[in-house]
Amino acid sequence: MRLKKLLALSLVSVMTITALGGCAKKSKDETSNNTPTPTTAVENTDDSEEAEVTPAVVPTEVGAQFSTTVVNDNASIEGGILKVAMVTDSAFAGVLNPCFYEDDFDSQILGWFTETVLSYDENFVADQDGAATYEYDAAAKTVTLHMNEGIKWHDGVPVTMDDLLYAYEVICNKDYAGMRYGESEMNVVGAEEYHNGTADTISGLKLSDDKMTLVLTFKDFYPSILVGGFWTSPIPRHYYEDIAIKDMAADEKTRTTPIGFGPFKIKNIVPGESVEFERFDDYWLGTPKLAGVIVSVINPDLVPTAMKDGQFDVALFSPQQYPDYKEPTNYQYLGEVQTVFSYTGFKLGKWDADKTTNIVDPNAKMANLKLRQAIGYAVDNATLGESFYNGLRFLATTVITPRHVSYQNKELTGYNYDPEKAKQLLDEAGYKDVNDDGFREDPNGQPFTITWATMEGENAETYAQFKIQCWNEVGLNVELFNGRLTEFNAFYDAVEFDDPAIDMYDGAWQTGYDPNPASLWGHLASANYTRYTSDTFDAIIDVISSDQAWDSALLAAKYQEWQKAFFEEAPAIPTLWRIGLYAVNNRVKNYELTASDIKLTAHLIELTAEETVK
Amino acid sequence: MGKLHTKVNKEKQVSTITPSNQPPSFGRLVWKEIVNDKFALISFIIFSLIIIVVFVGATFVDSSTTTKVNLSLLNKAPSKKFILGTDGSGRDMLTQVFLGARNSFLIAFGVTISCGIIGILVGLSSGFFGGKVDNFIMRILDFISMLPRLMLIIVIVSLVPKYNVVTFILIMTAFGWIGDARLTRAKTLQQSSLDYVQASKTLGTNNFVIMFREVLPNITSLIIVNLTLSLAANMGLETGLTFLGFGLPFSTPSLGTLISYAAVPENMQNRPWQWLPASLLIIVMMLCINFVGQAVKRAADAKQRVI
Repeated sequence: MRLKKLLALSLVSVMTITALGGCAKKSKDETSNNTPTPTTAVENTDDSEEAEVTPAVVPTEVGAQFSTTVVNDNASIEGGILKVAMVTDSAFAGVLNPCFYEDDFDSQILGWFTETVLSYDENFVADQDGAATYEYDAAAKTVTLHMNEGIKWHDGVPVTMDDLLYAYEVICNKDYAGMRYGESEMNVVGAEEYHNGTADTISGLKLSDDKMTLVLTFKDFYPSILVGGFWTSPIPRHYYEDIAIKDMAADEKTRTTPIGFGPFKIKNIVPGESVEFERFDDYWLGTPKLAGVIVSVINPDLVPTAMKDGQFDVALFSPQQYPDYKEPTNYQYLGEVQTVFSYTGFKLGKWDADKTTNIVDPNAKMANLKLRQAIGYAVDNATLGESFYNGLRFLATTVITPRHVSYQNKELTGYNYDPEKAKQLLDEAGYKDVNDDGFREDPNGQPFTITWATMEGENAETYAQFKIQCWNEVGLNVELFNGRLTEFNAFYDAVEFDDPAIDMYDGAWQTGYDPNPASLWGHLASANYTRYTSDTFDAIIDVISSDQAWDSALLAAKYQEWQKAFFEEAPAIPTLWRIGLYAVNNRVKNYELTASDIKLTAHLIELTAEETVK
Repeated sequence: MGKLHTKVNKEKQVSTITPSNQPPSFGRLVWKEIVNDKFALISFIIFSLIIIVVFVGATFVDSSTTTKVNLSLLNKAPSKKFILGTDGSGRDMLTQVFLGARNSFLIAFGVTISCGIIGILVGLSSGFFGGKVDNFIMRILDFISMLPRLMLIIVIVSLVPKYNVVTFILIMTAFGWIGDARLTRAKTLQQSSLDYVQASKTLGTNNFVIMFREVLPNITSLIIVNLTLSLAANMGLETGLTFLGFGLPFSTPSLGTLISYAAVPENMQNRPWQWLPASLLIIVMMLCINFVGQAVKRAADAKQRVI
């Protein structure tokens, strides 16, 4: 549930994990919403969910109600410390190395002190305004990066393309155990040979003698490459080269004293709680206006009072608390539809780390397609988004978010709420209630229980209880993993490493610029936690990741086809899209909410008062 | 010579032990003590009323429907339909209070009784047999009492995959019987040195018969005092654990869950109907138990008796 501006990193790196949010609280006055509140339907003791037909809500229209820039015309002060909230009820992992971080919270921290070499425009295509400029040659399948002069790491050493080369050497190394080695990296000529150990260097990466130019040669050259389709986050070779790659993620240079070349440098880290930054005077875009930034963890329940008291300048605001705080006096709201989707995933196989491939298990408990579809139809996600999240989340019909408007398959209705259909599917699949206990047994007549893992969070018990109720109503017995909600970090550990007890789980992905499904659902993707592969998927993904994709009509058609296939094969059920809501104190100036930091503007943020407005 | 007509006054044979001379039973003592003390009497009445209302009310409530999440009724203020409003999951607060009070009380009662049984058994054995047995048991007691009870309960609750009311009672009992055992042992030691026990032993009575038929009745008064006071303590412990999140699962309401709603600032400030009834109920119940317990304690101690 905590999302934030994502780093301008390459495709795979922008796939981060976000925690799924909990319940909603409705405001005391019902006149605030403009959708029919089905109070009459609940007067009787009938316990069915409100199967009201609400008018189709267009997420981008709802998102347009919110501004994305702060309105502040006051005069700025010199310096000042920006207080940013990291909204979570867990500690942050603190893996502060672009090659090794895995979740959104670490990416929030990385965003202040690291950068990628390329910057991107509003359409998520790489432009020339970044730390490096680039050219590409489709026929030769190359991209050439030219590092700009005068850019320095926080310790004063100049940034060169050798540092980007080093990042590739780390990620493609056979000792690398992180999640960033995937199809995009394997697409670089020579990367797989280097990974296997048959080559000492990556032949497809050529560094110039002055180290300021890097030529990347790809096996297949397709549009995704220009939309964040290759790794662009350097790490300082001179800083890390003495550390063995297998130890790098845990080393103190990653956890305690990392460096980057972004506008702020790390001053102090309290593990799991807060990070203090100070201004980096030699920042290549100019000395930042702020003197520093403090990012601190805060429990989501406490955010509204904290913002009211002026404890923070910027905080992600929960949609469940929003209706009670609609007219703030000392802060304003920024919001936009995010490139995030929540989903219910099914564990359908295993990850083979040696071959870096997913292997489907035909005997998985959830292997029956109709069973999975029934699970999707049984839950009323539209009402969840409407009542629980106060209209700030929407039924997701597909895993392509509304931000990628041109690619979204608009014909799909997704897994909308249809309990009758769910029951029918279950009957067809052979899951019948033979002993009349209210729960269906499996086709062999054995008692059937599904173990569902879901995260802790704000009102997460209500969310979990609601979904379990929905499933109980179609006769499915669903139990929580370990009998309780799972903490964020523990949750992803269990899901990522295929804990055998979990049958299905509720997670969320923040996708990046490129909706290419390869990195989340492909058979070579370690991030494909469902472990599902299919020939249909492979065929479509191969085309999207090939040079046929330059034909934009074909590409669009392939995306439509892929979303349809995903709907039909249902390795996961997309549940919700969301609007990210941020509360920004009135003393902040020049703060802009952009998807994934596509414009580098952190150095321009200013404050107009010494203290936060209270 | 005539018969000596002495008037034999047939006096009624009055037994020397009259009902009014018999020492009153412990129960009567307690009752008199309670009646005499205004606080205790009121507490007793209030507590009985609460228990009756809660248990009777809870039987009319169908827990499966009332613990259902209802998204359209989230956080509603008290109204005619929902006398105490609804909570963050759309559930009726009044039925939650009933169910929660019943669950909390049952757990506290269950824990107290199990702790009592185990504690009494261990204490009796330890105090009666003395010597090596006593030493051994006491060292075990010492060890367990050294462990941080609350922390261990929290850890165990986190580890146990599926816990419900019964497992919770077992976990709490596992660490809670120490106090009862110590007290019982002390009293048993005292009693064992008395003549009647020595006499029974000489007669060859079975040890266990002596323990349970002769010693135990003499110490019940103090045990009952202890149990009553620990009832209040256990109720507080259970509520505290649930408040911290280590208590009952979400679908089993308890007074602790209701009070934990107050941890969210929004609820604390603007939605008092969610946590106030439960908080008041806990305070009242514990105070009542305490006042009655004090009266019982006074009744047990002859020097402190008011009557």
